[in-house]
Parts: sequence; structure tokens; C-alpha cells
Amino acid sequence: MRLIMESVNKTYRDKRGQETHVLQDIDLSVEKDEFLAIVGPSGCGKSTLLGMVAGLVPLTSGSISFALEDGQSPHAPRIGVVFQEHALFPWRTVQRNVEYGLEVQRIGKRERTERARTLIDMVGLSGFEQRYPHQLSGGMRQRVGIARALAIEPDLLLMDEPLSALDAQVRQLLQEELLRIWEQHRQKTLYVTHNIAEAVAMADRIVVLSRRPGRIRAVLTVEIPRAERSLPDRQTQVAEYQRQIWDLIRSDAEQALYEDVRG
Amino acid sequence: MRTSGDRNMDTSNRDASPANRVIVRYRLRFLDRRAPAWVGVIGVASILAIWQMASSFGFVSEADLPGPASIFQAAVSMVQNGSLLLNVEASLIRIVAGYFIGAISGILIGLWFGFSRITERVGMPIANALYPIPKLAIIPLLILWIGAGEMPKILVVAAEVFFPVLFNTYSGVRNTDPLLIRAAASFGAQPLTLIRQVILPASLPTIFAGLRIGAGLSLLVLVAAEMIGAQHGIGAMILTYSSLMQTPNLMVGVILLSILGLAITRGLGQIERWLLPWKE
Repeated sequence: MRLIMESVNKTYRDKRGQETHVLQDIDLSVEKDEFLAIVGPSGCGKSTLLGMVAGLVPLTSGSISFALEDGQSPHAPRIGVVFQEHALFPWRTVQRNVEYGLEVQRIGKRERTERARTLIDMVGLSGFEQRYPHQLSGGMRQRVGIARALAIEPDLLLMDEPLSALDAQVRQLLQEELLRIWEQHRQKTLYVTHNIAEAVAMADRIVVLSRRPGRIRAVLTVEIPRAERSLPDRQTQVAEYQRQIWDLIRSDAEQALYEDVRG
Repeated sequence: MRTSGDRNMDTSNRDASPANRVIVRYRLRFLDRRAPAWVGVIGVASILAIWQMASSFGFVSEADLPGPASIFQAAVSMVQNGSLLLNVEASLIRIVAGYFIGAISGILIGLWFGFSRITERVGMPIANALYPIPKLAIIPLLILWIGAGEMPKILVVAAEVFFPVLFNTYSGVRNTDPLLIRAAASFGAQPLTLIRQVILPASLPTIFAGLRIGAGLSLLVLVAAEMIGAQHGIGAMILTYSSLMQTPNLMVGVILLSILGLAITRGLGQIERWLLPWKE
């Protein structure tokens, strides 16, 4: 199932009746097996867009839909979301957190346990099944979040700055891990980040958003094979992508520095 | 075809979507609690109207639950003959005096507990032991010590306010962000300056939370104390009208308490906004 966004608009109105046009005329699709990153300065509406795709934020106008493949019977698309602040349920153990989405889908206990085990193993947390989130480090919590999202075998994986709350070293490690996991699943992914390097390291295509209103400023296809992006002789090329994106974002990011102080 | 609806509308254009599409729908509509502002006014007004009709048509007897109109009449006559003012004044003096005594001593002793380990070690068990005693129970003791009159009522209000303020002040001091203390110390702030410039302001929000809890409790204990033994005061007034079966006048007293409570809460909120403009 392709994900299709058509003329998506989002306007917020604050208490004083002031309207903010957060997203304007977003037309975008995520193809099968594609890792699409959305990059933009703070306040560009990238998380809002992801929220709308997940059905957690209402659209002001436009539509977001999944296109069925030939012969595919329509079913509610399963969407796995990895949140920035992990959003694990503190009262559930690792095991039960990972099982959560399966529980909602009313999948039997035995299958649930089994699938959760596999995922927990894949994110390298075997042995921690019975721990509670507060007993884990930030990086481990985020792994649980990733396992929870993948457990439902989503039609679309959404990640909202999944690495931003982590320290630089853990972030680097988890990024590599995320890529390894992604290569195994090759699930169509929408990845929101403000970190340009992260986007260039991971994505097939990168959508650069402007801010206020958030509009698609550019769509770049990263032509370097993913596996080679960390190789030394590819670094000039990687840096070139990064520079290109930064040039697109810079002035907006500078504005955001001042405008974010509101009320 | 696009519905250009108002904000927050889920305008996933249903009709235009081809058959081979599954549209993403907004899942949290059930949590969007939207209601225009006038709903509140209309709602309250209609409840009052229903209440009035229930008593005008005699569904509820005036002696049990008088309608808004007769309560209002009772209030007007009580204002005119001066009895209302007399009683409100008596209550206000007690609650204000008691509140101040309780709040100030609670803050001072709370600070002392917070800073001195010895005081905390000795004082905390005593405070913990005294706190659960219903303060009304000490009125007879107070009368024995200082005789009947205004003082026992004032002191019982003070005792009720004292504890929440004490505990909150103490925990405010104890829970001051150590990072802020380190920041001040790094610039060479001396202990007293540090207390005044960092620990006190940092504790103020918690202290205010204690003051707000104390305000609610003070009203409760005031009315009870006035019902136990007082000539004037809102509590005494309610009791008198109850034995006289003058329900509308009694209701005036009850409504006065609501107004008094609201006024205290609002007033404290205002003071808090003045003193803590940096909060939120």
C-alpha cells in the first residue's frame, strides 16, 4: 500500500483567534519499501504531518490515504509509531509494552508472547522482558518503542525524531541498529527529524520543509547506497547532501530561533 | 473535490476517493471536547430556571429547598436589617486573623525545619503526630486555657492552616533544584544570600500550594467552630435559621460560604500571579 498525501493543509487557531498556517499544500507519497525522511527547522510542522498520517491530528483540508495494490482487500492500515519520548506505558513491562499493539488487535496470548519475544530479541533486549521502563536506559527504552511499533507488522512505520532524546553516542549506535533492523523489515517508513546527518545516513528520499507555512521546499533522492554511506570515500558526497539541505533550511532555522519564543 | 472546512475538521474527502483507497481518519475526535463559551452561561441559567419552576409549581416544598427568588429576597432583607453584615464581619475577622497566624507560623517553622536538621529530627515527629488530630477537638482545651471568646476560634483556624503550610514549605525547601543551588554557589553566593535569592523563590510555588489547601480547610473549621459556640458568624447564623425553620435565610448563609470560598481562592490566585510572574 502506497501512502498518498494530497493537498494537505493544517491551520491552528490559538485562544486569541490568531491563525497559524502550519502546513500548506503538502503533496507527497511514500512508496513500497521506501525510507522517506522529512527534514525541517523547528516549527515547520513536520511532526504535525506525521501526526496526521497516524490519524492523531485532524487535517484542516486535503486527504491522506493508502492506495491498495491490485487484488488487495481493503483493511484498516496498520500504522506503527515510534515517538520521540518513547511513550512506553510505565505500568507495563518490556514484554507487555511490546505486546500492546497486538493486544489491541486481539491477537491470542500465545502468538503475542512469541512475536514480542522475537522483536525484543531483534532489538537486543533479551533478558529484559520483565523490566519496567523506568529500569531501562534511554537507549533501551527507545529500542522497546521500536519493537512495539514493529510488532504489529505495520503497513507503515512512522518515526517522530526517535533518536533526538538520546545522547550523541547512544544516538549513533541506535541509528546503526535502526538501519540494521530496517534492512531486515524493509518496511515503508516515514521518518521525521531535524537532524540533517541522520536523514542523509538513513533515507532513500529526503523532503525538506520550509516553516510558517510548512511547504515542501525540495525533495532529494540520496543516490549513495545505504550501506556505503558510512564508508570513508563516500564522505565528500554525504557532506555535499548535508550542505545542500542545510542551505535550504538555514534561513528558516534562523527565524525559528527568535519566533519560537511566543507568549 | 475538497471540503474547505473550518479548522480541525476531518475533511478526508470521502466522495472523491477512488474505491481502491483506504483513507486515514482522525482517531481522537472523541477526545476533542469542544463547546462554545455561551454554553456555560445558558446551561447555568437554565438550571436556575428549572430550580425556580420546580419550587414555584410546588414540586419541591419551599421549606426544604426554596427557589432562587425567595433566597434572593431573604438576602435582600438580611442586608437591609444589617444582620448579614454583622455575621459576615464576625466570620471574616476570625478567618483572616486565624489564617494569617497559621500561615505565617507555618511558613516560618517550615523554613526552620527545612534548614535545620536538628529541628527537623525533633519537630517532624511532633508535627506528624499533631497533624491528624481533628483541630475542632482542641477547642475545649483552648477554652480551658484561654477562656471562651474569639481567641479559641481564631486559634483553631490557625491550627488548621498551620499544618499544610508547614509541610509544603518544608518540602519546598527540601526539593529546591540542587542545580540552581549549585549555580548560585558557583558565583560565590553566601549561605544567607543563597537562601534568600534561590531557595526561597524556588520554594514559593510549593508554599502557595500549601496556602491554597489551608484556605479551603480554614473555611471548613471556621464554620464548624461557629456552630459549636458563637453568637455571630456565618456558621452560627446558619444554625440559628435552621432551628427557626427559615430555610431561605439558611440558604443565604450557605451561598455566602460559597462566595467567601471563591473569593479567597481567587484572591490567593491573584497574589500568586503577582509574586510569581515567572511561573508557567
